[in-house]
Amino acid sequence: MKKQFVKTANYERFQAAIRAVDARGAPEAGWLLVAGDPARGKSTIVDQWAVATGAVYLRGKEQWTPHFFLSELAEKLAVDDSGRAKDRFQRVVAKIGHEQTPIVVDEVQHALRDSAAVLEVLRDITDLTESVAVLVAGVENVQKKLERPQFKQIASRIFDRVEFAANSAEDTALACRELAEVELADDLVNEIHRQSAGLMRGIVNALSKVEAHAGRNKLARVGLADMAGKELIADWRSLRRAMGSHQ
Amino acid sequence: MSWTSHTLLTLIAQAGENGLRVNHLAEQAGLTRAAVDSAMERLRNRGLIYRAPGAQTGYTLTDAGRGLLAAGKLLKSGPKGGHTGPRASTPGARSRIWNAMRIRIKFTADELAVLANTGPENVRKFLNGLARVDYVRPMARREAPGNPSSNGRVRWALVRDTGPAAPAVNLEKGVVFDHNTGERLAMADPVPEPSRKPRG
Repeated sequence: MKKQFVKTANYERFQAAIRAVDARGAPEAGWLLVAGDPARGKSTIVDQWAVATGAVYLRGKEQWTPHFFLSELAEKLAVDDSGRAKDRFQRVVAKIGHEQTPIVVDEVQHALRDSAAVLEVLRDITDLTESVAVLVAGVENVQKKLERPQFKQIASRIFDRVEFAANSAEDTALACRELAEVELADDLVNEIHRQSAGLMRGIVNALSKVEAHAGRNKLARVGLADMAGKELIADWRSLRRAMGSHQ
Repeated sequence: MSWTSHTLLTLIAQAGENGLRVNHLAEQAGLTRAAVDSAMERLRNRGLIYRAPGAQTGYTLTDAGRGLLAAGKLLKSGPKGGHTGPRASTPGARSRIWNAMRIRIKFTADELAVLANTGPENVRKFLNGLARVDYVRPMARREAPGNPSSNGRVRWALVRDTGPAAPAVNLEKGVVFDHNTGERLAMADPVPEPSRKPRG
């Protein structure tokens, strides 16, 4: 199987939102909230963007406090984290502001404790540096929480929200075309989409099995009939249950 | 060496293995915090001093810093002679691989290749070099295989993250140069393959 990044509709939506944030009118409103059920490709797409842009990446932690957050940010940036909080903050702002480093906060729900004190620190940083921040919600209802009156200032920094949907049939077909080393007939692609419920993990799993079968039988093109009696995705029923719904 | 840099290096050397923090350096040298910050940045960039991220101890001298001080050489501004050392860290494929490693912490070579948009062979060479200086380690359990004929891919863990600049791995010379710490590390023997027991 080819190792490459598949530009699904979720990827295109995310990129469009990033372009819109980059072109925003209000410099301080530079946050993008990314949400969606697990296993819809949030991490892969956001991580790929973070790698390409050299963003500083932080994963939210249950124990996060403003001090812990700022120390971790300084550590990731290789900025001296000694001295008073004020000095550390200024060094972090100087580093991020100078390089306009984007910031990614994964599992952002952990930053909502204590009246979102950690997000207040992030707001101070992005207000001063005008850097883009991408907040990835690991659970539902993060946006609803941020819409509460006490978070009005923070919510005003969110320029846009990208909701990751399950991959469509077109996305599955695209993944099959770009990743598989053999040609897949449409009926097999449709079956892979049905069983995987559009989850990339399931699609990749199925392609691996199709390629192994094609290799053993020297097939250049594989259809649904060729895979008769073969399991495409191990325990795909539980995979679909985990998704909750199937489009 | 400028007076400020020489003073700071001397104070750090005298502090021993616990090193000195910037505030104490400013006090002892009788300099402003801004002047010390500026000089320390130059010394850090030249790989003469080091402080581990998040460490409770202060700055210590690197081998290069000790050597410079012992030789009594001057640290001058301007060109620093012919380029004979390791190549500077640049925003290329290895830099992207390193970024991806710092984000994921645990990963397979294929995941890194996809995230960093580079070839898997480049990733494997980079991982091989870093494993031999104990920056990454193969995890005991492999990734769950995608099909019955596969053993599952090796999963790796980043165990030493020294900063944002990607270490330069030179497999031919058997050395890794860490741009974050200024250390030149000799590679050990190749790391053995982990068990073939898949995860889960």
